[in-house]
Amino acid sequence: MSLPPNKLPTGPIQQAWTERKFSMKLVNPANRRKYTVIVVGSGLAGASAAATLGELGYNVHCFCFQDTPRRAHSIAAQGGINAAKNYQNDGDSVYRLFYDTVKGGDFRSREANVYRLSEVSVNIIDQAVAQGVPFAREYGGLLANRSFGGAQVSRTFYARGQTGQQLLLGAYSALERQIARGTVTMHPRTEMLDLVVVDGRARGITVRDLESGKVSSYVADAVALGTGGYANVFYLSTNAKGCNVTATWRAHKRGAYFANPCFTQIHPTCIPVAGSYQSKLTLMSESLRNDGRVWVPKDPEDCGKHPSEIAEGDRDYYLERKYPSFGNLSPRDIASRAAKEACDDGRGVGPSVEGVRRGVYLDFADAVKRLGKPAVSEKYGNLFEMYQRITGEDPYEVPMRMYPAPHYTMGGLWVDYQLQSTIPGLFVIGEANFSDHGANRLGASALMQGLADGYFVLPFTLADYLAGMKPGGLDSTHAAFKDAEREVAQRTNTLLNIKGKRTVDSFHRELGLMMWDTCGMARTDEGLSATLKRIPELREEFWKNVTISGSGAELNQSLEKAGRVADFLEFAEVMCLDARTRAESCGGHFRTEFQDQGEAQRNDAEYTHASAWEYTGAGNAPNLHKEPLTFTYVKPVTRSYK
Amino acid sequence: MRMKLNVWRQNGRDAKGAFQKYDCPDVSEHMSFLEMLDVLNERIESEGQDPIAFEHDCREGICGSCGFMINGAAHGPQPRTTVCQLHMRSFKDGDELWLEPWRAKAFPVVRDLVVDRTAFDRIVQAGGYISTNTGSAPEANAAPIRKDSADKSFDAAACIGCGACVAMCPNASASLFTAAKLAHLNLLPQGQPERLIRSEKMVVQMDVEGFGHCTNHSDCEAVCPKGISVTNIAMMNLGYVQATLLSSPREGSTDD
Amino acid sequence: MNFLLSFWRSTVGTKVVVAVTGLMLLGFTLFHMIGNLQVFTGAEDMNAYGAFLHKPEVLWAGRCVVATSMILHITGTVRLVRASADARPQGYAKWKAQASTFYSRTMKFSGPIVLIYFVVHLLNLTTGAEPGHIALHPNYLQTDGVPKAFENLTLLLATPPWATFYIVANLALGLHLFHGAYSLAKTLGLSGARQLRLARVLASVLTATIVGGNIAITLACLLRLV
Repeated sequence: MSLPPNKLPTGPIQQAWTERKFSMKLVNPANRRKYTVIVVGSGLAGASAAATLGELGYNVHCFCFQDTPRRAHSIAAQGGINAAKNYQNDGDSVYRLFYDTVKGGDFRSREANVYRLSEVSVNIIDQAVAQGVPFAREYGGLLANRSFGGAQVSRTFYARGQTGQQLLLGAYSALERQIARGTVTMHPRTEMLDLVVVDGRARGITVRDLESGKVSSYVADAVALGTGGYANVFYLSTNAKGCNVTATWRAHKRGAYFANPCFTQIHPTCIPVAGSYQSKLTLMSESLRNDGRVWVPKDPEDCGKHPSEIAEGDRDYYLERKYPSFGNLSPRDIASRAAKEACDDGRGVGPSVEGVRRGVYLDFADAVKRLGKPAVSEKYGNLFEMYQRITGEDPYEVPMRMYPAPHYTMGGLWVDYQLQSTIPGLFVIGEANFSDHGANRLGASALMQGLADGYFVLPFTLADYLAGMKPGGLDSTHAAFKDAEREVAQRTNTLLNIKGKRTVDSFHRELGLMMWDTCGMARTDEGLSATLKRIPELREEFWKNVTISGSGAELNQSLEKAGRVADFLEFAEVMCLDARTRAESCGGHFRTEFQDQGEAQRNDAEYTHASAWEYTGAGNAPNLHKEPLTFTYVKPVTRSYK
Repeated sequence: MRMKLNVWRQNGRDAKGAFQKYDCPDVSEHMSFLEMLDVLNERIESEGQDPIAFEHDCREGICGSCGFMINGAAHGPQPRTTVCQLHMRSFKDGDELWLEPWRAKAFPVVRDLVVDRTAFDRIVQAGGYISTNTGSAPEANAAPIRKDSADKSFDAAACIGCGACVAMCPNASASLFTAAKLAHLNLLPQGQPERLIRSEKMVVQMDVEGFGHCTNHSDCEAVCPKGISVTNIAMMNLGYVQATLLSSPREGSTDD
Repeated sequence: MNFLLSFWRSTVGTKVVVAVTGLMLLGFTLFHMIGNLQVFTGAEDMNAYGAFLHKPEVLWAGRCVVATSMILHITGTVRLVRASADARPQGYAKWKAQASTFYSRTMKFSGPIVLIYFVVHLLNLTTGAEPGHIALHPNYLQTDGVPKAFENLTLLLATPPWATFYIVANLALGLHLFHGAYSLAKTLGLSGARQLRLARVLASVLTATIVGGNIAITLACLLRLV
C-alpha cells in the first residue's frame, strides 16, 4: 500500500488551521454519546484528549498501565512549556516559534504541522491556568517566563522544576472530572496488547488486565494512541521504567506505518552510570551548563586521579576548545557527541563500568570563585542536592560528573495532518506520533505538542472522521476480536512456557547496550549493519531462553516486561534500518560518515523526506515509503556553532 | 555491603501474607534501594521463584508509584526522599531491614509490596478539579494572581500521590493528601467558585473510602517526599466547617 | 437538621466537635483551678466561693455545660478511635514514630485517666453533698447542704495516698491538655505559621498553669502550708 495523502492544507500557512477547522465535519451534540472512542495512554496527550472528548460528550474509554492515570511519564518533565504569548515583549510571535521549531528540527518536519502547533500553543497556557496549574509568577501577579534551550526569546512557562507534573495534574484533574461525570471510563493497570482492525478500520483494542491477567477486548468507533516514545529501546534512558513501544509497535504490525524511528534525542547532562546494576538514568537540567565548565583530563593516565590532583594545565575544556563561540552552551547533540568522543578516547572519568569510564566533569569551581557560593547555591542548590542524593558527592567539593542519555524520541507512528495513521480510525498523539519535531526537538516543546494534540487538534479531526461513519454496529464477539485475544493469550503462554535460563532484564540490557553503541549518539553503516545482524539472533535466543516465573493469571511484572522487551527486539531492527538508510546527519541522527570536521552534514537533495516504514510480516524486510517535505516559509540552512 | 531483608510476601488480595528472609551479600553503596531489589529479583527469578512485586516507574521521585515501609518508616530513613531515590549508602553493612507494604483498609494489598491506591483517584473525582471545559479559558494573564498565593498553591500541588502520608499516619488518615489537593485549588482565584462544594465533597469521599481521621501527629509531613505541610489540613478543616455549617445548602451537597 | 447529623458523622466534623468540647473543658479546668487557688487566701474566701457555686442556677448550668461537653468529647473520641482501628485492620510489624510525640500518641490513654480522675474527684468532694450519698473522703463536712470546700479539700489532700493520686492524675491531665490544646487549634483551622507558634506557646502556658496550679494546691495541703 502506498503512503496515503498527508492531507496538508494548501494556501497561506497562517490561515491553514482556521480554514481546516471550518471545512471539517462536525458531529451533532446529541449523537456524540453514541460514538465510542478509545484513548490509550494517560499522559499529557492521552489525558487531555480523553478529558476533552468526554467534555464534548463522546463515550470515552481511557487505558493506562500504571495504577492511576496521574503517573504517566509526562509527569517527569522538568523544564517548561513554550508558548508564543510574547508576554515579555521581546519579539516573539507565533511565526517566530514556528520558525525556531522548524529550524531546530533540522528541516525534517512539516511546516503546516509546526505552524499549527505554534498557533495553539497560546491556548494551552490559557487552558492550563484556568485549570489551576500554578505556573511561576512575577510579584505583580502575572505569569513569568524564561528563556530555555538557547532560545533568543523568553517564551517558556514553568512551574519550578516540575512543569510536566503540574500540567499533567491539570489534565488529570480534567480527566477525573469526566470520569465522575460518567463520560470517560478509566481502565488503569490495563495494557493494550493489540489493535483490532475490522474492514480496514481501527475498531478496538485487546488488553490484558495487569492484576488478574484477564485478556479482553474493547470495541470503539475510533482509537487514539498517546502511548509515548521508545527511548527505552536503549534500556538505560531518562524514561520511566514502564515506557515502551508495545502499543505503537503492535499497531504498526496491524498496518500503521512507523516514521523516522532513527530520530532520537540524547540529553547531554544526565548522571552517569554507576554500575552494571544501573536501572535508569536521571536527567539534570541543562541550565547547569550556563555556569559549569565541562572538562576531562588531557592524559588518560590521569582519569583515575581525584580531580583536585589534576593541574589546570592538564585539563581539556574540550567544548570551549572545539566551539569557542558557544563553548559549554553548545547545542544538545553537539555537547553529547563531544562527551562520547572524549570517553571513547579513554579520557572519561568516574567509576569504570564494564571496563570503560563514561563521564565528564561539569565543574562549578570557577563559578563559585566568580559569583560566590551563595549565588551558585541560589541558582542550582536544588539540582546540587538532587545530584548529591544520587551520587553521594558534594558538587561544591568535587566536580559533578555528567554523561549523555537517551531522553526523547522524535520518530513515531506516521500520521497525516489530521493526526490519523495509515489505518483509518487510528489516531496517534503526542510523543507517539512523528509529526512536529523533525530530526530534533527543541527544549520545552514536548509538553506543548502533547497538549496541543490532545486539547486542540484531535477533538476536531476525530469529529471529522466520526461524522463520516455510523456508530457501533460491532461487538467483541466479532472474529477479529476473538482472533486478537487468542493471539495475545497464545503469546503470553508461549513466553511463560519457555522457562529458559536468562532473565528478561538481561536481554533488555544486552539489546540496549548494543543500540546505544551503534544506534545512539553516533552511527555508522558498519555498526548498524553488525547490529542488524545481531538483533535477530538475540531475538531468537530470547524466544528460546528467557525465563519468566509465575503465571499469566496474576500480577506478574516479569511477564509485563517480557512482552515489552519482545517488542523492542523487533522494533530495534526497523530503527537501525532507518538509521542505516538515512545516509546523512541531521538533528539527533549523526552518521559518522557524513560530517564536516565534526559538524553534521545534512543531505537535503536526497533526504528531505520523512521515512515511513511498512510492516510486511515476520522475517520480511519492511517497505520504505517517502513523504517529501517542502519548505515554503523557512528555507533550509546549515547549522554552525563554531 | 551485606543486607538482611525481611520482605512481606503476599500472593494476592485475599491471600495470607508473611515475611520472608533474603540475604543480599553483594550490595553496592551506590545502588538505589530499588536497584538492590532488582538484583535480588534477578537472583530469585533465576532460581525459578517468583520475584518480589513492588511498584515503581520514573525512578526519579516524581511519579509517586514507588513506596513501602522500611523499618517502620514510609520510604525509609532519609527525609524528603522517595524509595527510588534512596541509596544504599543510607544503611550500614549488615543492617537488617523490614519491608512492608502500605497498610490501610483503603489501600488493599494487591501483591507483595504493591497496594491499590485508586481511593485517591476517587477523592479527586469528588471535586479535585476546576470545572473548565477545554476552549472556555480566558486569556491567561487576564487575572493577576498574588505570587505568594501561587507559590503556596504550588507547595501543595507538589503532592505526588504516593500514599506515604496514609501509610505513616497512626490513624491511616488521608488528610494530608486530601488537604493538599484542596489547598492547591482553594488558594487560587480560579478555585474560588467551587471552593465550598469541593471542600465538602472531598472530605466526605475521604471518609467513604475508609481512611482514618487526623489527630495532628504530623508523622505524615515528616515522611512526605515533597514536604507538604500539615497546615493544609487545618485549612481543610476550616473549609469543611464553612461548607457544611456556615453556608447555605448547595445543589449536590450532603445537606438535606 | 440533617446537616448537623452529617457533620457529626464525618471525621472532620467529629474532630471539630471533640475540639470545641475540648476547648470548653479546658476552660472549665482553668477556671476550676483558679477558683481553687483561693485555698491560699483562706477558708472564708473559699467557702464563700463554694457556696456561690452551690446556688442551684449556677450549679446546674455549670453541670449541664460540663456534662454535655464531656459526653460529646468522649463519644466523639470513641468514634474516632474506632474509625482509626477500622482504617488499619492489619498493623505493621515495625512502625517508628517520625514526628508524633509521646503525648500525641497517648491521648487515648491519658483521656481515660483524666476521666477516672474526674469521677474520683466527684466522689471525693461533690457526691457527699447529696443526701444519702457517700463521699470518698476521710471526713466530709457540710452545713445545710453546702459543703465546706476549704476543709474538705485540705483534709483530703493532707493524706499522702490522695495527694499522690492527685499529683499523678494532674501529670496525665498535663499530657492530655498539651497535645489537646495545640491540636484543637489546628483542628479548628488555624494554619498560619505565626498563629500556630502562638498556639503552641499558649498551649504550653495553659498546661503549665493548670497543672502547676493544681499541684501547688495539692503540695500546699500535703505539707500543711494552708
